[in-house]
Amino acid sequence: MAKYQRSNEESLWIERATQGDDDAFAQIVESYQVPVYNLCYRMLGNREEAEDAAQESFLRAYRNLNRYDPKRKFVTWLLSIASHYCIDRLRRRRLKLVSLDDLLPRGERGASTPGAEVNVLQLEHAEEIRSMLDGIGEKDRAAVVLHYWYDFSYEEVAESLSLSISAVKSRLHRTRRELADRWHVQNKAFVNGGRQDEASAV
Amino acid sequence: MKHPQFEALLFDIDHLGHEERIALEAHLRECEQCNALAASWSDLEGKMLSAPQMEPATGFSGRFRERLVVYKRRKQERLTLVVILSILFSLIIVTGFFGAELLTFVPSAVSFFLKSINSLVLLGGLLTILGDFALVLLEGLTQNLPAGLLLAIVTATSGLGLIWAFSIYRTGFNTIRRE
Repeated sequence: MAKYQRSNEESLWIERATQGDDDAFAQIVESYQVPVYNLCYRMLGNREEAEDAAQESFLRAYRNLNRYDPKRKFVTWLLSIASHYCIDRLRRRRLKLVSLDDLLPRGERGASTPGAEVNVLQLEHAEEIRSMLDGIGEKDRAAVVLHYWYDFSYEEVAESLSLSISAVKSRLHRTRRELADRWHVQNKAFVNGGRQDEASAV
Repeated sequence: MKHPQFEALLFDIDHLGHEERIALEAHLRECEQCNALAASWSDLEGKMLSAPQMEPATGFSGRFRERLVVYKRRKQERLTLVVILSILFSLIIVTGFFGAELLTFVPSAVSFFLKSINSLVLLGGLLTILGDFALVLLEGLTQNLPAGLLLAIVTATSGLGLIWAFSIYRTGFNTIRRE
């Protein structure tokens, strides 16, 4: 959270934006586009959806700016909006009978977003993480993302996701356990697969 | 300490006290299952923490501004639609409540309007005839009578008119005072 400490400039932008100054809000968007987009990407695992979700999150923040409590950290409030939006989106996606994701190979998803200049290694790394997070429940995923990528404390995660602190601890514990198991199984399968390949080559 | 409790410590390693840490390390040396889990989690956690920050394509804030413009336009359109629908709804309500009275009033209003127009036309015609008659009379008088006599007649008529107006005024005033 140290990365996103509030400055006087930010307070001024928020104040001006609350009074209807769109340029001030554009400054806020400029400042927080990366953390909001990154959160949406970690939650949704797709660049195009992440772009749309990040845009929508900022629009929701713009609409509800008059409800923002200045006692709270602005970034916590903003990421909370983005988390809730992504959770809703994941739920809707789950409810679809036929998902487009099922029809497309993993690698093709979101690869055509303009300006995506990430090297192949980074993409592989991101894909590994994405596949790990893919099978986790929406709120659990949000808790992991906020805790690990945004250094949110248990209290901040609880506040952002409207959960109790004990619920956050329990969810994080369960999710870590699940992720560790899946990672273990995946690596084991990879090692076994490699051995079989070597044996057949011999 | 039981096995699941060590698992709990394993996943909350940043918040452990000194003694808990020592107990966990001792357990990990003995328990192969927990050791494998710890290694797996440590590996994955490392990957997660070192995962690159994903950035949006350039021009994100510009695209947001465009979205904001569209949002504001739609909001305005919705507001206009709401106002129109409210007016229509009010009209329907008014018609529902007072429709019967309005319908009964309409024919009488039309007939009143037509009668008024008719009376005005009649009055106009009468005034025109009177005006023509007065002109003919004046022309005859001015051509046939001497100027002195004409002046005397006009003065007398004006004087009589004034007396008549004054008497009307007095009668009216007295009537109001009596009432």
